[in-house]
Amino acid sequence: MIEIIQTGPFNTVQDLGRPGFRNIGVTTSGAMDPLALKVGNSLLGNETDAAVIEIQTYPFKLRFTKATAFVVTGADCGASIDGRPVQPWCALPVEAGQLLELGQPRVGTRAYICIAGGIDVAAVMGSRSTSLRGAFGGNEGRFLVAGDILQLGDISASLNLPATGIAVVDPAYALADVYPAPEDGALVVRAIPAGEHSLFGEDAERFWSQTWKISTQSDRTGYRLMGEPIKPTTPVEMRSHGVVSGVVQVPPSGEPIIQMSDANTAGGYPKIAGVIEADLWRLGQTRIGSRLRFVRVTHAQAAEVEKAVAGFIDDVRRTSRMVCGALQAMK
Amino acid sequence: MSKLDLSDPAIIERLTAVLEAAGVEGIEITQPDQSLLIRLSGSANGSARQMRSGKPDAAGTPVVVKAPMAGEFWPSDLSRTGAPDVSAASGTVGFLRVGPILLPLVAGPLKRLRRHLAEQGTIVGFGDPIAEVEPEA
Repeated sequence: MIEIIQTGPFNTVQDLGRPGFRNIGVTTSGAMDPLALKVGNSLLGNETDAAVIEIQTYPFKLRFTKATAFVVTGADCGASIDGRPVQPWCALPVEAGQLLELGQPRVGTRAYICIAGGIDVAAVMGSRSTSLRGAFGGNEGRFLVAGDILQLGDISASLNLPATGIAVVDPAYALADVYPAPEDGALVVRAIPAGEHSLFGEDAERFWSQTWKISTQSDRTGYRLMGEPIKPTTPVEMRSHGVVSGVVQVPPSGEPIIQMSDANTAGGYPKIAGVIEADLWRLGQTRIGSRLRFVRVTHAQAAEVEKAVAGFIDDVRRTSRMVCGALQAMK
Repeated sequence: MSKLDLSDPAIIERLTAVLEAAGVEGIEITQPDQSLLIRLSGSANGSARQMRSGKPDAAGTPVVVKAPMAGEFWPSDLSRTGAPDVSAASGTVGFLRVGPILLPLVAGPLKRLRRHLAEQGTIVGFGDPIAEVEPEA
């Protein structure tokens, strides 16, 4: 078990979400940085989609009430165990009674506390993710508060982690060939033109060429962008239709909205683009007020990026097991 | 009573024989200046023996940190440059990189890095010297 000692609002239990229920108005939810969740779970020998704690407000403290292993992935927030600094993305064994503390992020925005066996809350519609809007899933359908006790699941093939732990290289470093570097400080986000792209005429080109700023009206549901407005060539009246995370809608104000993990299930705004799935985690780690630029890619290019990311996660799972096994043999 | 020399092969052999005879899986003996660990595990060909003995460093004497396995030596986490390096504060004197995995190499309690003995990017093998550490002032 773990006990939450200190937390801000909006810190929740998340896994990879509950797809398949949008037709009945249930949003997918799930981690805003699924790569951090997958890598953390892989490093611990968990199932890839085991539930973790998503931290987006700080400081955060929890106490382990039994011996286990954990890793903090995602944002680098100067984590420490009993006051001793912990390497970012480093899986470590812990003893009962040890205190994990997270400070303000130095890099990124959302940290993920992954624990061996995963957070064992009841699955609702196949997922342990918290849906704050629906008030179900996760820990009683709400964000965590001090005093909450969370159970941990069993792990079928736990790793014999060395006392010094094992870390993983920064995915941005490992996947540098796959993820473009920022341009003039702006995050490069790849997207595919969507259904109503052509309705924006010349403004569509400005969507791709200009730099957008993430507004303060941004959260897990969506990121509102600020910039020179783009408008359809003629007013558009559309029936509401299905929306998924990554879809970039353009409301009448002309400033786009990127749907994120708690995306609305339907909407009537025209869609100008869809952010490729493999780039959504980078948005999940981008701070409000940051600038970004969209770059047009094809479905084939998006699939190539997904393949490279999946390969990296597989490599983490395979190599971490191999390293722990080798260290055991050398003892 | 005279003190055992735990590095004496004859004593280790006798202790091992006694453990086997008694059906005990292992023993760990620690003296102020020596320690010995003997583990026995059953196998088809009899008992496999695993031993570790050593003498702690005398006060102030540098100790060599050796590679626990093969890998590429990194003096710090070179993949993260956007935040302060916490290696020193966490007692880490370097890493072995194996694919996407970084294995921290730790100085040990109350010790600090004196100097690295391996070059950044070098492929090291099991037991290769990595760093010299010394007691904290």
